[in-house]
Amino acid sequence: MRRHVLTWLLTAALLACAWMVSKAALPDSSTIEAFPATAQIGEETGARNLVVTVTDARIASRVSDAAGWTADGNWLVIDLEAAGAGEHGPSALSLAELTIGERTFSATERGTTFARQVLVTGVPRSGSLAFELPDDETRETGVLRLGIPTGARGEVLLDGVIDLPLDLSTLPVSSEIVLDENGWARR
Amino acid sequence: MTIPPPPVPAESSDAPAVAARAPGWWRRNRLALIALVILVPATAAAIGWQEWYQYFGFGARPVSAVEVDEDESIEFAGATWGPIRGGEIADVTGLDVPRDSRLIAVAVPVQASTEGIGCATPTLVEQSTGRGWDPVRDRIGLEYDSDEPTTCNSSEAGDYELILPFVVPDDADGPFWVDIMPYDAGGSYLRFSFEP
Repeated sequence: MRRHVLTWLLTAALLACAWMVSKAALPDSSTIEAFPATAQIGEETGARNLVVTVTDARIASRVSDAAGWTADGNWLVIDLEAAGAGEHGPSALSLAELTIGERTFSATERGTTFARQVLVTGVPRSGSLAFELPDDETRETGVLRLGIPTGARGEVLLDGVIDLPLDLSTLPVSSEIVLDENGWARR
Repeated sequence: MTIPPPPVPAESSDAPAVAARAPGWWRRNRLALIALVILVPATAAAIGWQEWYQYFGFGARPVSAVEVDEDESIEFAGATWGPIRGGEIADVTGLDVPRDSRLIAVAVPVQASTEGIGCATPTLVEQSTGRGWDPVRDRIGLEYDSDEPTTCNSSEAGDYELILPFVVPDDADGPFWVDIMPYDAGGSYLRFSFEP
C-alpha cells in the first residue's frame, strides 16, 4: 500500500515538473529570433547593420507624396533617418512592420516612401514610412520594428532590429500629411 | 499437488575465479568504442561539409580574394582588369552629396574579350573596418549613362571603363579595396587596393 502511494506521488511530481518545464520553455522560434534594440522618437538607435533615428510619428486621414500620389485612409506616418552600419552586406530597409496586439501591418508600398530604401553605410538617408491602419487601431499601442533582412524571406533572423514602442492615441493627428522625399538626411 | 522447485544449477567451484579474470567492460566493447572514435568525428565532418557545401558550393559565393596592387592590372575570368584610378572629388557642385561625407570616384578599365563578361555590382571596402559601400550614381543626382557603367555587362564586349561613385562618411579615410566579382570566376574575386 505504501509503495503504491509513493509511486503515485512520484508520478504526480514528475508530471508537475514536466508541466513546469513545458511552461518555462521558450517557443521553438526563439533560437532564431531577432535581437531588438528599443528606440525612442528623436533618439539615434543602432543595431548590428543599421542606425536609425525616428524623427516624427503622426496620424493623418490623407497622405500624399511629392510626385502627386494621394490616398485617403487611416494613416500612421513615420519620418526617419537611417544609415547602414558594420560590414558590407545587404542594405535595403525591407523590414518595416507595425505590430498592434496580434496584428502586424507592413509599411505601404504605394506612393514613394522610404520602404525598401537602400541604405548607405555611415551616411544617413531620410524619408517617410506610411502604414494604412483599420479605423479602430489608432487608439491602441503598438511597436514599430525596422530591420535589414539578410535571409531569403524578408525576415530578420538572429540579427539586430530596432523596435520603437508607439502609443497611437497620443500621436498628433492632422488632416493631410505630405510624405518626406527620400534623400540625404544632412544636406 | 504442488509444483516442484526448479532445479538449481550445480555450483562450480572455480566460477568466482573465472569472473575475476573476465575481461572488463572497456575490453569487451573495444570494437564498438573504436568504431565510435572514428564515426563521431566522421559524422561531424560529413554534416559540416554538407552545410558548407550547401552555402558556398563550388563558386556559388566568392570567398577567396585575388589581391591586385594599385598600379597593376590582372587577367582574370577571361578579361583584363585595371589598373584602377580614382580619388576624392573635391568639387561637387551640381551633385547631391550630403554634409559630413566625401564623394570618391573610381574608374576600372575592363578589356573584355569578344564574349563580354558579367559581374556583380562592385563595392568599396574600408580595409581597417570592413565597412562597405555600393555605387550611388542615382542618389547623387546622375542619370544612367551607358558610357559610364557601374557594373560590367556580359553583352558589352571590347574595352570600356566602369565609373564607380561612392559616398562615404568623413571618417572613412582608407586605404580601401575595390571588390569586383565577375560571374563564373569560381569562388574567387578581384580585390584592388586603392588609396584616394
